Amino acid sequence: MPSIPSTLLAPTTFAEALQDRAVRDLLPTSLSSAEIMEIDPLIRRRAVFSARVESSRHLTVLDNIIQMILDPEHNPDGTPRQPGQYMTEARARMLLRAHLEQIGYRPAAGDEGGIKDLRSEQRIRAQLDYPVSFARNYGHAKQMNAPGALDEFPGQRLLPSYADEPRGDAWWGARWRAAGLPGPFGSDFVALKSDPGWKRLSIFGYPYPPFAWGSKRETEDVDRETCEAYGLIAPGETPAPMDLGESNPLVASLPDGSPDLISAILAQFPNAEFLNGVLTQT
Amino acid sequence: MNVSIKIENSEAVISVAREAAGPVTDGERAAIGAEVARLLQRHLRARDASNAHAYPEGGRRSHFWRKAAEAVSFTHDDKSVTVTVAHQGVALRYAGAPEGIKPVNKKALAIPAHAHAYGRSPLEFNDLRIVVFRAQNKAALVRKPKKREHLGTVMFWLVRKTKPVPGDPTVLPPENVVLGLAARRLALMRSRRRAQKGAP
Repeated sequence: MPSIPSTLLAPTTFAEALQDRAVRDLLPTSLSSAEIMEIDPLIRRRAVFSARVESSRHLTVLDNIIQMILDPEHNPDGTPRQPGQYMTEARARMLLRAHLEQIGYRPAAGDEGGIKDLRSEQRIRAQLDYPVSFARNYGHAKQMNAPGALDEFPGQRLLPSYADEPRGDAWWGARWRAAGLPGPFGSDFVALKSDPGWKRLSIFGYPYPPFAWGSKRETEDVDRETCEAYGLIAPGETPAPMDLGESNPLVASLPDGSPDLISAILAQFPNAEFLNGVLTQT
Repeated sequence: MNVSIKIENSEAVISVAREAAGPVTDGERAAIGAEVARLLQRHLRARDASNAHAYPEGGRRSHFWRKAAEAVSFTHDDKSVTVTVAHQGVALRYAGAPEGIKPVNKKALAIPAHAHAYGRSPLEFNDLRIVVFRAQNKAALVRKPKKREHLGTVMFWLVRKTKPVPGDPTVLPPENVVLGLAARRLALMRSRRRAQKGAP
């Protein structure tokens, strides 16, 4: 008779997090980070990009490495990786750096060592950490949208920052209220998962973390008892799911129903141009 | 390898939730999965917070346990609920390595010796060189010495095999807490449903 609960040591996959990557197409672009942020979040969620990265090859390698961090025991094609080759974050950074050396990447003069230098530690971490965090948080949000889980955990809490020097609750309280979220209830930042204010709280436009560059505030699920106590939901009320922008299949979920990523971007930015496959500002 | 908590016997959960009766439904298993996932995330985040003193030399914290918390997911089928941490390294810390760890496809393991080496591969440094300490029968990867420095900073020790690594069961929350919360969630769901139906 196994102990209850039992503990398993086995390869398993966070399938929903991988789904976040599976729907993406490469988007080589000469746009800056700020310019990319003007693209509709739903379109960005369908793209593999990095500011001012025009190389499809680099984006392919980046996408593969991100997938392997999410699923450390498998290659992107699903074949198993050998013990000793499982993907760790340190190995991922090293692989990305090695790839850049292999293709002979050189930063522009004056950019060496900074965020614009693809080889810099800061940029390599940004290229890997944010997509991995988005994928995991998307995966968790998707799991929590399952009817039984959502009914018992209809709310989401913004957890205190774990930054070394966090911004105070007053700063976050103002931002929270500006996003139209209810409360906060003392220092408890809780709202229903379906509240569109979560997307406004995020500079990226998603209802799940990370909410900003460098943000160290995560979320956790809040149970129905707490949500009822805060008056966020009535007893017996069926909660609405978090809007993950995918009530429609991939193509239809692009804002204007465009058939592909390029068409969707051109529809939003008629003056944009794809020169040799690279999104460029005209 | 990942580490998972699996609640295989739903009858055991029901027996703890005394008033609960009848087979566990699909929705109830999803809620139990969500409850245990939240517990596991809280547990791992608390571990990360309690490791705040880990790098006295001031190296960049990797927040390993917070990233592990972010990688918690759950699944369920018609007999069980499984909550998993899909993050490389957690299973090793839980189960340990009684025989020690040996390198695979490499001659030696690089063991961090300096705060700035934790969470990093030696290949992320571009100024390391191998130094052999014959008297101590040790080898290390050492940073290029700065001015007036004789040796340079030892960043990694090189070893052919580690000492046995003890397992740490506290990587996961205690079993009675897992089971108790699962049962509590089930009981809450059922009592709420009974109240909505107007049953006594």
